[in-house]
Amino acid sequence: MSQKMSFTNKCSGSARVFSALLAVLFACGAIMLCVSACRNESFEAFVTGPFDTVTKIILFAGDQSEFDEHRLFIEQELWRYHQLFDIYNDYPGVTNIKTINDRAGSAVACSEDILDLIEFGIECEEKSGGRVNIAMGSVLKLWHDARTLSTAEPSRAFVPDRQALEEAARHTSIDDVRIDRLKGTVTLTDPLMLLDVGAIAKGYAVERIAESLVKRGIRAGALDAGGNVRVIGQNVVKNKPWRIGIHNPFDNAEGPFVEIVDVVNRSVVTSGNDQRYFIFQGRRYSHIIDPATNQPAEYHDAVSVIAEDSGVADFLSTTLMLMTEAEGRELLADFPDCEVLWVQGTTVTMTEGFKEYVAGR
Amino acid sequence: MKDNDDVTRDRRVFFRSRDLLILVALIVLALILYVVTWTTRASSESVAKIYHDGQLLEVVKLVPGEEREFRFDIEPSIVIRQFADQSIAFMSSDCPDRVCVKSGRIKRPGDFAACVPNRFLIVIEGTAELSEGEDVDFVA
Repeated sequence: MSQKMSFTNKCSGSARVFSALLAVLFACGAIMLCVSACRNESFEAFVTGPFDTVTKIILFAGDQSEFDEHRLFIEQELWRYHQLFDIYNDYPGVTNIKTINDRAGSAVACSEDILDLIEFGIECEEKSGGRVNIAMGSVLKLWHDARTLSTAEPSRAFVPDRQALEEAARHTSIDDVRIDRLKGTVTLTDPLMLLDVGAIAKGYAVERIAESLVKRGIRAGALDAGGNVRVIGQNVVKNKPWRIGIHNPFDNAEGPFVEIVDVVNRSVVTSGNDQRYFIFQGRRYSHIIDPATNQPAEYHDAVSVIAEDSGVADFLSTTLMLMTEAEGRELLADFPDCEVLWVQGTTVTMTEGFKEYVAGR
Repeated sequence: MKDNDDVTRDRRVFFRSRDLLILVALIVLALILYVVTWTTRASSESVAKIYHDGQLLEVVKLVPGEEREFRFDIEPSIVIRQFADQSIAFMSSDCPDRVCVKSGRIKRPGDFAACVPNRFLIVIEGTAELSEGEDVDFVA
């Protein structure tokens, strides 16, 4: 009946055209709804190698080829940053942190990316009260060598000589790292100094890549570089925030996570003592070294940070491993949007703001 | 309804019932497509995929009660073991850090363990029975 009515209806020409247009508009809207439902396809990939870890990528893309383009970009960027920030290996045609170390004492011309990272590193040293110091490579090298050799041959495990550590620690003043922006150079004015950007490089690189992805038009996705998680938007497939499990450093009845958080446009990073360590005379030596003692940090078993910037989250989680919880809470006054969870044995504590991220179950 | 008819007679109609019909049909179509894309995502069993340098070497069905050991000519030091509880783990490797072995057993979809120096990667895929809340996207 209604159909007949619309046919017999004596509409004026313009109104008829208008209503037809409106119908087309609605149809387009409905089709868009269709397409967006189909577009909510998530693609996943793994990159093994950069920053000596596995990076898991989840992106929402229109089709496989669009995803592959982004995946390739991420892979290339991860390797590029890995090579730039590497302190152990040379790469043909690349001036990296190792180059600066090798030429300690003289000015080394390097790329903007390296200058930016070192500048960030100097800032970190200041904000952490010297606890996270990219200039303490000489001390970290002794621990790195001990860890590598002790893991490879546990029967011949050893710890660095205390005197050697003290000697190395005399060449760790951040003031001896000089950046010349105009000339584009970095100089280690102490020739016995070594840079080690391990505490900040991965988070920094992940943040830069995430920013590039947003510029490339990615509205939703996530990067997880070995536990350094950075999410863009929310999980479009589930139409929910990204759900991140906070790794339980212990193999106990509590299960795999100490907590589960829901985040949008955030980074979640955990520093812990349970993954990179070695054992000497029955004692566990972790990879996070306290410059105050030149020995592994023993304040906490793990610290997790939620922050907007992955570089800040990475830096802050390491810094907080190197101080008491009370000191940490004090430091957080300088980092208003950063929330923290501490794990010490079976005790889990967190900032008020962290609780708000905890997933309702 | 009466008001509607008045409007129709008034010749100022922008939205007729026929248009509404088309609109409803399209929305229903969109919903159907949405539901279809959703349900096809679900599979019943979890598998472990073993990669070397991005190349798929082995797909291991994680069947309860099944235990098996995997070795590869490409990297003889790597030993991977599938356990009866539907988990899988690196048992040995010649890498300096042994991070792969320390990762322990993995079993939940989305879990992965890797031996980066040897470029080995194990990824769990599929949707095993999960309790709500454990269904996380990432682990940090």
